[in-house]
Amino acid sequence: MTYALMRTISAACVTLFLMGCGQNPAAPSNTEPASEPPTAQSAVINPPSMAILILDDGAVSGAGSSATDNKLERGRALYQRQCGACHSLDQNRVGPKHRGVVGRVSGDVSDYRYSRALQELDLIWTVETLDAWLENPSQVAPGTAMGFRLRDADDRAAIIEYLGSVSPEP
Amino acid sequence: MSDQDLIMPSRRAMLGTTGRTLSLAGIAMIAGGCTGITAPATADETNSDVQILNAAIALEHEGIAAYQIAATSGLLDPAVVDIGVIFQGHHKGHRDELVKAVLALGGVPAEEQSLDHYAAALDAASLTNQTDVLRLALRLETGAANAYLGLIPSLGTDYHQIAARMAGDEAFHAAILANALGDPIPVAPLIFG
Repeated sequence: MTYALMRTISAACVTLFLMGCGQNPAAPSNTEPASEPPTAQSAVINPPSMAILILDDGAVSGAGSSATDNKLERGRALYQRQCGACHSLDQNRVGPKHRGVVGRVSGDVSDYRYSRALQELDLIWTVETLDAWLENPSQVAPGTAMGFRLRDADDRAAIIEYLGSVSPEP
Repeated sequence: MSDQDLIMPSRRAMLGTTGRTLSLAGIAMIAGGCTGITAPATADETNSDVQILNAAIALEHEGIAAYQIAATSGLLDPAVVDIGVIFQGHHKGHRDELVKAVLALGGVPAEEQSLDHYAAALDAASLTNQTDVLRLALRLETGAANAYLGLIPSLGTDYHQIAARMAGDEAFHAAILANALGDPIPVAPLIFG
């Protein structure tokens, strides 16, 4: 497939998506190919002002941006992307709320219904135990309902540092 | 004897030999897969699968509720509601597949909670316009795609494919929502997981 064809298809897709939601499609000039090899800042279909990855809740990230270099911001973004389906800081959802989790006793959120595996688990959530948990929850607490594993050690560290940075419950 | 006669027997012979070889190998693989090679799941493994699949059911319950809350919020254009209803139907399909799996394993499927519970859990009161709703949906769908991909290593192999298929659906939803919001296409590969 030629680049020109790919460009045409991409522009058509964006137009269709935006039309489907009642918005105006981006101006054609925004779909012009970059004259240089794509980078995180340039190889996007949308306007250059939006040429960073908007994650959620205003979090921003992008290769080479200062935000990416900030480990806490990276941890926050990763937390949203990797944990956000089931968890939030202040609400019990599929999993228990996380604010103040670092230093907390396992299975200790009073208004959350834990699996038997977590009810019987007896440990303190430290950097080390959280790292082991995120790497393979079933190894820490066999029979847990949390099957999600995060293989990348740097990602685990960033998330744990972020969770340690958020203020605990008053 | 023609040239064709000379060729055909040898082709048949070749195909026959190959076919027998493949058939034997195939039978051995099938037999191995059904009997000796794959050990039956232990009770602990089955219990683990039930627990994890039930967490996925809870996730789908929340997703279904999220689209219900969004559709009835009055914040969305009718065309967006239509898309949301389709996505909600996908999540209902996921829930049904997961419920079947849990029942097949002898477990009790996780029950849905009240719409008020999900509204509070998702802080629905803070949603004030269509963009807020789409942003929440994108966050949930992105998280769900990552959640399914991340739980595959913990699940028994029988459920790897269905989890991957569900991750694909969630990623599809996320892609459409991101485009509707005007988010740029991620440049780096391996967008999810």
